Amino acid sequence: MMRAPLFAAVLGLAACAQVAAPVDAVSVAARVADMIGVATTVIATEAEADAVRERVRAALVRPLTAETAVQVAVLNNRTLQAEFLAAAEEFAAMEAAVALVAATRRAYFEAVAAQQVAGYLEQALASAEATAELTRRLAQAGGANRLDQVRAAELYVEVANDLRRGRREATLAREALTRALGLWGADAAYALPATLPALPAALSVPAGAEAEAIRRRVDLAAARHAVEHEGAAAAHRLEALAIDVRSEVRAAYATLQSSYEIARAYRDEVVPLRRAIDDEIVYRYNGMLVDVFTVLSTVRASLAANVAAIEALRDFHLAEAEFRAALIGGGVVRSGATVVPHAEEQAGGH
Amino acid sequence: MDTKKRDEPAPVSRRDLLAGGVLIGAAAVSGHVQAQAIPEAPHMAHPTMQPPLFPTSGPDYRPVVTLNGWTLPFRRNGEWKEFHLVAEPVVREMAPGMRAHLWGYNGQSPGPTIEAVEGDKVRIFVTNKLPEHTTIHWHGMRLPNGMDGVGGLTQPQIRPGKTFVYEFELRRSGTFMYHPHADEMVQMAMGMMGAFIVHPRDPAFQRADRDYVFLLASYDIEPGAAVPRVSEMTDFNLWTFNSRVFPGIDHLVARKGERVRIRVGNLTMTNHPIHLHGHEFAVTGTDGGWVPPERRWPEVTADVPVGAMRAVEFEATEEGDWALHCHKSHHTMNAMGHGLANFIGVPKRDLEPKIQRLVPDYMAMGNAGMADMGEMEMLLPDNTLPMMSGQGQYGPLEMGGMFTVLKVREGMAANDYRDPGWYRHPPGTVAYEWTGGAPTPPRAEGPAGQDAAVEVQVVRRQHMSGNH
Repeated sequence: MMRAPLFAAVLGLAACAQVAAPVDAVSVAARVADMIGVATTVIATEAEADAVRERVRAALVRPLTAETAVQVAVLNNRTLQAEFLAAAEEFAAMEAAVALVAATRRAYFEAVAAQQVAGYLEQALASAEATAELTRRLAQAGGANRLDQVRAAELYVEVANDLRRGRREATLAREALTRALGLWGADAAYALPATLPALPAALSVPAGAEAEAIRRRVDLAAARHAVEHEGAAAAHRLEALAIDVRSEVRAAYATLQSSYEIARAYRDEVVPLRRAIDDEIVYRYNGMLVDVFTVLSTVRASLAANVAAIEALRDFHLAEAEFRAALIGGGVVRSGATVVPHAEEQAGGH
Repeated sequence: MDTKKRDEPAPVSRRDLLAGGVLIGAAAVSGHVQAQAIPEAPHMAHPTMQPPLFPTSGPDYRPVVTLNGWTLPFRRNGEWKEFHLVAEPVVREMAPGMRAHLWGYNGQSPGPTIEAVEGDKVRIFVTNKLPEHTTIHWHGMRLPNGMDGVGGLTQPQIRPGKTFVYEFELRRSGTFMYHPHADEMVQMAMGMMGAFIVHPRDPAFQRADRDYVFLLASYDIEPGAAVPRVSEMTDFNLWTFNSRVFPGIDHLVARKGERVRIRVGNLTMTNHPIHLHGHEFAVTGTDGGWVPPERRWPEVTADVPVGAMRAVEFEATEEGDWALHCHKSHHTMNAMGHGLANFIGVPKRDLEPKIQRLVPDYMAMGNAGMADMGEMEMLLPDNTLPMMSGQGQYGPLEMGGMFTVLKVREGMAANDYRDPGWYRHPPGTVAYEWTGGAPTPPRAEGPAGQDAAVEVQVVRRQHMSGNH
C-alpha cells in the first residue's frame, strides 16, 4: 500500500507521455459516448488526466448513484482507456464500454445491498447478544440451566459469524465497484447511499424491445461488419446471434418482471406482515403470554425477512441492469454467467 | 304421560298435528296453531345478572339468582310447565373487552336456569339451531329412561332445524344441570350447559334468604381469537363462573344475618376447590340430594368434583367484602403463558435501551414478580383479557378467572341484589403499615446465584452486618 501511489504515478507518467491522443482514439471515444449515452474522453495528457480527476472527484462528493457510478467508470476506468487508445478495432472498444457499463451497474447494486444487509446483521447480533446476556444473568439467578446458557452463547457466536460474513461481502462488493470505477487512494473512500433505490411505482412494458436490441446491440453490429468482409459463414453467425439476442431480450424481461413482482411482494406484504408479527409478539409479551426470549427470536426472524427483502430489491436492480444490457450489449448471459448473480444467503440468526 | 310426546323428525304437517293435539287439541294446521303449540323461546342479549323470577302461582319458593345469567320464563299449560330452549351459536362477553364465540341456549352461554317445583310436570321444547345435531341430558334427574337425552342410547339426536320435546315429572328437589349428550366433548367445550333448580314443594324445607347458582366451565381461547379450541384436554386458559371471568363476574350480595345458599356445578375436566373468605359453610346438598343436617360438617372450601354439584349454606354474619374463588391459583388468572422464564432477581433494566432499539415498544417486566401486570395498562392481542386485573378500593386485585366477591352489608333490603359498592371498614379495622422502629430480624440467606445482582448484595450486606 505504501508504494502504490508512487507505482501508479510512474505508470501515470508513462501513460501520459504522448503529447496528444491519436485522432482515431478520440473519434472512437466520441462514438462510444454517443452510443452508450454517457460522456467519455480520451486521457492522453497530464492535463486531460487532471481534468478527468477533477470531474470524478466532483462526482464523488455526494453518495454515489447508479448513474454517477456509470459516469465515473466510463470516464475513469483505465481498461476502457486502453481500448480507446488501442483503437485497432472500434467494435472491441464498444464492447468493452457496454460491458463496463453493465458491470458497473451490477457492482453498484451489489455493493449498496451488501452494505445495507450488514446493517441488519448488526441488529441481529444485538438481539443475540441481549439473549445471551439475559440467559447468562438468568442462569446466575438460578432461572436457567446450563443447556439454555450454552445454546444462547452458541447462537451469539453463530450470529456474530453471520455479521462477519456480511461485512466481508460488503467489503468485496465495494472493491468490485471500486475497480470498475478505476479509483484508488483517498478517492476509494467514496460514499454509498444507505439504502438501495426504491422500487419504481410500475414496470413499463417495453414496446419493440427486440427490434431495439437488433438495432443497438454492439455484438450484432460487429457481426454485421464481419458479414461485409467474410461472407456466407459470417452471415449464418449473424443470423444465429440475432435469434439469440431476441431470446435474450425476452428472457431478461421475464427475469425483470418476476424480480419486480418478488421485490414488490416483499415490500408490500412480507415486510408489513413481519412488522405485524413483531407487534403481535410484543402484545403477547405485554400479556405475559411469552417471554423476552420469544420477542428477541421473533425480531431476528423479522430481520432475516428484511434481509431477504433487500436482496429481492437488489435482484430487481440487477435484473434491470441485465435488461438494459440485453438491449445494447455487455450482459452476463453472453459470457455464460447466470442472469442475476444471487449473493449467498446472508440472512443469519435463525 | 301423554302418548304423543316425541317430536319426530318428520314432515312439518305431521309434527304440527301431533303437537297441536297434545297442546291445544286443535287439528288445524296453521301458523297460529304452531305459535300456540310451541311456547316462545325468550332470548337474552345481556351477560349481566337478571332479577330473580318469583313464582306467581303454585307453591311459594325462593327463586335462585344466576350469576351473570337469568331464569327461563315458562308457560303453564294445564298441569304442565312448558319451557323452550333453543340451542344456538352465541357471542358471550366473558368480561368487558373479550367476547367469545360459543354455543349456548337462548342467546347466552350458559343457557338460562330452569326453575320449577318438586312434583311439577315439565315439558321442555328443544330447538336445534346449531350446525350439528344435539340432545339435552338432564343431569341428576330421575326421569323415564327415554327422556335422559343420551344421543343414540335413549333417543335419536335432534338434527339441525328440528325441535324435540322432553317431558318428565320432577321427582325430587335439589340442584341439577343440563348439557348436551351428543358430540358432548365439543358441545360442552363450546359452552353448552345450564342450571336446573327444583325447589322443594314445602316452602319451609331448606329455606334460604339468598340462593345463588353458577356453573364452572373452562375454555381454551387462543389470545386474539374468539372460538374455543375444543380439542384441548388440560391446558385451558379461561376458567369461568357461568362463562364469565373476573373482573366480569357479578358480585354476590347478602344482608348481614341472612342465610345464603350458593350452588355450584362443575362441567370442566378438573376439580375446583371453591373457597369463601370470612365464613364457615356446610355442604347442604349435592346433585344427589340434600345432606341431612346431622351429616354435615363445617368447611371454608368445598371441592366440587368433575361432573358434580355442591350446594353450600351459611349465615352471612360477617360484614365486608369477602373473596369467593377457586383455590387453584392458576384458576384465578386469565390467559397466560406457561413456558415463561422466571426473571425474579434478574436485573434487566440496563438492557432495556438495547432491546428497545430492536423492539421500540419493549418494557422490562418480571424482575420482581408478575405484579407489574396488575398495575400496567399495555397493548394486548385483540380480544384478550389481561392475565390479572381488576381494581379494588386499595389497589389492583391482580386476579382473573374464577374469582368474585361476596358483599355482606347491614340493612340491605330483602330482595336487593344491587352492588352496594366497596365495604366501608370501621376505623381501626384495616391492616396498616408499621411506621415505628424495629430491629432487623435475622433472615435466611438468598440463593447463592443472586449475589451477582448488585441490589441483592446491598441488602445482604446490611443484614449480614446486623448478624455478626
